[in-house]
Amino acid sequence: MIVTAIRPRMPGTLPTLTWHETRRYVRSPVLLLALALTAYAIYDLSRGVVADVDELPTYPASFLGGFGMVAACWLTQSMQRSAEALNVAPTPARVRTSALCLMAAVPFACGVLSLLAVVMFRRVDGDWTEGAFTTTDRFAVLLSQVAIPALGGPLLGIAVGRWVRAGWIAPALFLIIVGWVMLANGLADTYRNSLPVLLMRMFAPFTFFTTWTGGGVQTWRGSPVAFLGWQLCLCALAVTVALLRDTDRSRRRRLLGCLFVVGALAVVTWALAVTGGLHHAVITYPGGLPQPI
Amino acid sequence: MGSIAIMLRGVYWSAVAGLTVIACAMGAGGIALAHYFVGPPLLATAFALLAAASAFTLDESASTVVDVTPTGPAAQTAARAGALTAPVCGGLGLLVGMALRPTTVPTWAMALALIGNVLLGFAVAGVGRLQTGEPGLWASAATAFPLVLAPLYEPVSRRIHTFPSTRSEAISSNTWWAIAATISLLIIATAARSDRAFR
Repeated sequence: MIVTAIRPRMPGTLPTLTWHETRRYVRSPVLLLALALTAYAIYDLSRGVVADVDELPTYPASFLGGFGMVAACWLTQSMQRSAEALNVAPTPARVRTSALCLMAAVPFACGVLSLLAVVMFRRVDGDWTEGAFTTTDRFAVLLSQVAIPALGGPLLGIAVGRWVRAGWIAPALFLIIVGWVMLANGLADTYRNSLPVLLMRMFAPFTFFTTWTGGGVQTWRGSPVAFLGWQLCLCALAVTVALLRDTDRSRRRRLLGCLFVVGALAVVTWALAVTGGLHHAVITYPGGLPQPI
Repeated sequence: MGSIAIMLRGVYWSAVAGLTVIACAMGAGGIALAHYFVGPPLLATAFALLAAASAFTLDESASTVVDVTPTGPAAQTAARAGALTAPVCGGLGLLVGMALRPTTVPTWAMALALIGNVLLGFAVAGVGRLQTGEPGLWASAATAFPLVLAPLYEPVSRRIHTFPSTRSEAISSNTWWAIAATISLLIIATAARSDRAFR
């Protein structure tokens, strides 16, 4: 006798799971803390004129991206703790992972709202404070510093949570990323035209493109638009890596192919981010033209 | 001695050692770049990671069994404090590395910051241990995140310094860590005397 196991078709499983995971995620104390701190930081720093335009975007990236990553990782790991019950359910693991990835739309929406708040309420001395960038580049800088980390952070947390069981990994990873960004941008402040430092600075999920020097604004090397592409590739890599866990053989081959293509795209966008933009750092003073440093 | 060794076997060593190693790597970067402005923030992040590591020393996955044994919470806490040697040794390595470089940051101020960080992480975990057998995750996050983000968050950093610096317009790190270490010791002493078996 041949017994054929037919997986029942579950209409609306993904939306239902997405809804449940989103509800769990927005109730996470870590995410609630991130939202409160982001709101306060935007309120506090938009009360007066800010000298350093990069200061305000740092907070949504740290809170929504960093804390969001930790919350998403712990939420994903909690799924592993109930694996015995979940594995007998007719819903495959990839649907549960897809639901978690769709849940990242919530912090991304918060990131977009933060971006709108930054654009509307941030007061600066003039356009010169945003460095020697075109309007497109300025928008790309803001998008890469505020909205995209709020999407990429949780997606990275989900990917890590699917593969690693230890809960301490997520906070440690967040602090490693903070350390790396501080290191790369700190070195860039001293070695503005160094290629190795530029390579380091662009090899990060978050970076700065300008810095305030007291009298003027330095604009560093690197293409903001290409860096945005690099960040989106990192997001796609995180989703693919998350889906690779507990998948069947045929899907695994397709996902590995997808991983290869996205990885190649990431390398290309990273190379473009390094080679594009200004060829040497410049400084802009009020009412003056950018001058090479 | 034997019972201490047995109790130390239950420590979540992968978390304690992993966080200590990451802290040492980050701190080594901070020491190498001590003369750049990025050096002190990297060292401050490394110290915060040591605080997170010390928060994992009280984790006891078999707490339902251990908490009803005749060994009291004070003895258990004292034994677990032995696991603090890992983050403390990592921090001492960073202190020695910093002392060998001619910097403006006094070594004793960094030592005070190290003691404060480690005690703070242990105290937060001690309070969490009254409610759960494995408080490390939440305690480390509650300790490390504020310590890392406070210097980066301008509304806080203009009032409190959590790492030794030459700026003097806010509460100095020595004052801050002396207060934090004293309060942490009081919290640890109080939490170690509380009964965990009937939580």
